[in-house]
Amino acid sequence: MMAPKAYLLLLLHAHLPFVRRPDLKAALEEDWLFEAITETYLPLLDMFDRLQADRIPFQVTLSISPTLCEMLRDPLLMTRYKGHLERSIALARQEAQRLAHDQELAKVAGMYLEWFEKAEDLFTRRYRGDLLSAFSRLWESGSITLITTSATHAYLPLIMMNRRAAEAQIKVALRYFEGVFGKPPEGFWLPECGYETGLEQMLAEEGIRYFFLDAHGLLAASPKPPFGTMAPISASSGITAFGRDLESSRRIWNPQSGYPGHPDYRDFYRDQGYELDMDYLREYLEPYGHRKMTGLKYHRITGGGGEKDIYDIQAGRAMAVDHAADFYHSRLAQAQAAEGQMDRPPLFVAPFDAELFGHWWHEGMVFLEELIRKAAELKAMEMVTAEEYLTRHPVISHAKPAPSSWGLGGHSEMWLDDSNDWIYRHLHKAADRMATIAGMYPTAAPLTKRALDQAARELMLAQSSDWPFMMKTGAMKGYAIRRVEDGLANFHKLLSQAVAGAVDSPFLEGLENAHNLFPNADFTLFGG
Amino acid sequence: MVTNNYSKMNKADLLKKARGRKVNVSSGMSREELIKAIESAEKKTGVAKPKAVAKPKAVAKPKVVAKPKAVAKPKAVAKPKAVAKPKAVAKPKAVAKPKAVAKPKAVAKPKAVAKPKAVAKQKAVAKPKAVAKPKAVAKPKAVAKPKAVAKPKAVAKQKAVAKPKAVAKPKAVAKPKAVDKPKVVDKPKVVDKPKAVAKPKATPSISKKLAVQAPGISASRAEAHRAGPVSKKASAISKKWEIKPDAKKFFSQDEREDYEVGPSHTGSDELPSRYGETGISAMSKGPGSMYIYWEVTPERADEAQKTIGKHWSLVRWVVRIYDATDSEDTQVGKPLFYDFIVESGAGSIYADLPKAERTYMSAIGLLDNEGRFCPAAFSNKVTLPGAQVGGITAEGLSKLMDHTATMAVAPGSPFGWSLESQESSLANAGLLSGAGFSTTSGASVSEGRLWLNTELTLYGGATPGATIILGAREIKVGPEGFFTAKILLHDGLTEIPVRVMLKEGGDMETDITISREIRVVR
Repeated sequence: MMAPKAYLLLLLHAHLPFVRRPDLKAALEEDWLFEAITETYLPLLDMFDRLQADRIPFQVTLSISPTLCEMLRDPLLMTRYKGHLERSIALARQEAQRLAHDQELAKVAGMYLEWFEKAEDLFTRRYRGDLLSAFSRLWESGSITLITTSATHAYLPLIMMNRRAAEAQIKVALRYFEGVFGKPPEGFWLPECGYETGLEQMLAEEGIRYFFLDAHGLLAASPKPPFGTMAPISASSGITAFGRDLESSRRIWNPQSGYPGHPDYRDFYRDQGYELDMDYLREYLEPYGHRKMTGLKYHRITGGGGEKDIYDIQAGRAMAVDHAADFYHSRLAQAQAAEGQMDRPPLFVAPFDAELFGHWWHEGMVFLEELIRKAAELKAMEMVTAEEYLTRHPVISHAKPAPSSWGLGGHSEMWLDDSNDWIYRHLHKAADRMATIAGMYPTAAPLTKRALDQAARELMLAQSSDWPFMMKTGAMKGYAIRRVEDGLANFHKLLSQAVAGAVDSPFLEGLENAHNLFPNADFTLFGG
Repeated sequence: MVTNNYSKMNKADLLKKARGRKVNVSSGMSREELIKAIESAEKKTGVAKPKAVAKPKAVAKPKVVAKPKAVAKPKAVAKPKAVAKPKAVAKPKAVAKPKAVAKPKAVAKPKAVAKPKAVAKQKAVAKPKAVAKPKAVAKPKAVAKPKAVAKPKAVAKQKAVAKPKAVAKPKAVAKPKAVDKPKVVDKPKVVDKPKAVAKPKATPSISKKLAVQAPGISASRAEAHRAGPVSKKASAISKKWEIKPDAKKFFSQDEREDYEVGPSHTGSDELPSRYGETGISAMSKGPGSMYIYWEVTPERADEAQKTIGKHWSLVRWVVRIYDATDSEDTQVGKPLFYDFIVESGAGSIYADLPKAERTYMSAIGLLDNEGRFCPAAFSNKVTLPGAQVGGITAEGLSKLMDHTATMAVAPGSPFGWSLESQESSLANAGLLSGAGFSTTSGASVSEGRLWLNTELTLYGGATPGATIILGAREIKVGPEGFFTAKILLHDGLTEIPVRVMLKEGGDMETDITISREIRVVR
């Protein structure tokens, strides 16, 4: 068998913050989960199944955050999802009837009806409401590799001032992952690719074999790795660091020339939830009582700032096929440039947010499938997982990675600036308090332990990187602030009650019910 | 009717308040007892605290708030820190609620400031550093020109001129004198070398700040301050600072509160503003930038003041940042440090340091008028990243992000890396954050596909020896006075900020904006 000219390590990172609201009939934030299930997770599983059925070999690495895992196996949320899907189908059907006589719009409306009905079929019949088992089966079959990230997607460089706080995020995640999938992950996705010196040691101590960095984490490593991001490095203690390929990410993310911004693609923002008459939408919006996204988007990006054209399904799909070919061949072009300079085929690590595909970028799933099929067909560039790569090629470069993230500016600017810096004083103080208490109560009475374990959950929820990110972008800022405040307020209340030996049981039970994640959460993990 | 907001104050603040009122209290008293004692004392003395009520400036300056287009940032006026300070706002319900003054719609709409064609400019306007400073907001004349605010550089300049009050009087602090107090650790002789802080090439914005400082003392004010009363206090301190040691004017205990530091409010209405523990913590934000926050209890403040042995009017709070790269023990005072003067009520700063890839340790403490420093607390150590990627500087990397410019770097590197800005509108819209930065194409043709790329050659002349900063790159002007540079262009607008630093001193700045559009004909 001929050696490939290049390797492609495609990594999809699936994450959503924990947004379960049992206290409300319906919560807008739960829609984030429902939309992602319909538009990304189900189509992704469907695509993997289809590729396997067609005997197409592929290797995709999938990072699933523990908070997303918890929500995907939560009965309340899954029941609500079914309700959401039913309402979506009803609205899509209503729209298909309304637009039946409009030649252009009827096609688009029909597409959504078909799409929602298929999602329902996949969710209820094929996967029986259990998406995690479906992913697990794919892992067992060798087509995908599952890895995880920190428990609540905490941006570790900014909470590791208290080392135990970062360690707790890692340990809780790994224990939880093993509990769900039956074996520990070999790799770890650092939330936001956020790396600070010392994290590699923490991961290595937990048995992790590899993790991922943004490009400059490798390019600015010391000493400078000879192959840039085209080969991984040994960071320390036997742990390997892979670096994101800049060109691969530019092809997707560049605001001007990135694929998802092409005029032929469906426009994400122009949603019928904000265009149709409120009375007409009444039934669909009833649980919410106000306008919101419906998922029905009838226009293409168009460009030029003028009136948007109606979405052309075939043109959008054709463009995704074209872009997949472009992506494939541009990686080969990169490989050609490196030819003769490396002792192995160059590796291109391409990590993306999973929700980009299907949800934000409607045609993204077509892009992925075409890319995978092309790689299998042409064989010049082979898809690999990190584990597969490491079995074929020993790591020869030893270097100290550079602090880095994949956020704007390449460091912590997204998660630490004037808009969100105030949270860290409180997060650090809470972690310190938790450490002190963990030292004081190595063994606690059952009720006290429950209160302290829940306090640990509340603290970890407040540590999620999503909140400072949302504060920075201004999107749903108030909600993000409230999540940090509520988490910390709950934390302090529980801690005070535990210390005073006066745990308020109804209060504790309420929180345990609302934030019912991580049964293995253990407050002593925060202790020294 | 004026009502005091003691019920919302924590114990530490109540203790402080009580002591300020000379009320006989002890730290063993409960909150309720403290409130009762203060209220009882106020009834006796008839204290309605007109001073406290009369600080509505932070929230009541309609003129400042009403300049949305110029300031464009609601945060500057809406920050809860500024208005929620118990001392400043005696009518908490009437004025303390951020919502009452925030009105984000009135000022926050990007449309108000956004130049639709230039995304980078829009981002730059939103930069907190540029507009969030109380002083800048308080000077309507300085910020009123929409054009000036719309251009990031104009704002930056304004920043430089708008804060002379924060500049330490060099004569007052630079006098080297013998140190006789054992706990006052630093002698003026060991202050930072001016050269080390005045390096304009590394971080031009920093150099402006540091160029005017006395050795070891930065003119920089805490950038993370909330707007409002803080700036007023700052100017008060500046005046008091000039009082000679033998002056007979002394200040009451009540006024002494003006000299305290620590967060007056920390951005949240739900969480305590203070935890009653002295401490300081430092975090790396990025190359050359560090976020530092602290709290100093009144007791620790008093202790530090007694140790330094000077009246409050002759000391000021300083964050001293030691370069601890080559030392494991910085607490005994090492030769290289930077001082950032902070104002009362401030609880945090962003410290821009001229050297990346260094390890720093910070201390919050009192600096007296003879240059002696008494630390109240030391922080953790922080190593700032260097971000030397393919020859590009950390600052350059950041500029690339900000200006959405495409620049080829490291032409000699085997794979021809080049970096490009990257902030996807998709990433901004939701929870996606993977929009880092990426390379330009490897420009090749395969399987019938057409690849096109465009490159701009920029050339010009300047005084020999001058440095041209072109986006992220530094170019030395040759002895003949000419320079040339090539820049890759991407679709849409490319903004290239050009700055010339003359050898003999002085800067010149301009921008070049280039639009590229490639039409594909099928």
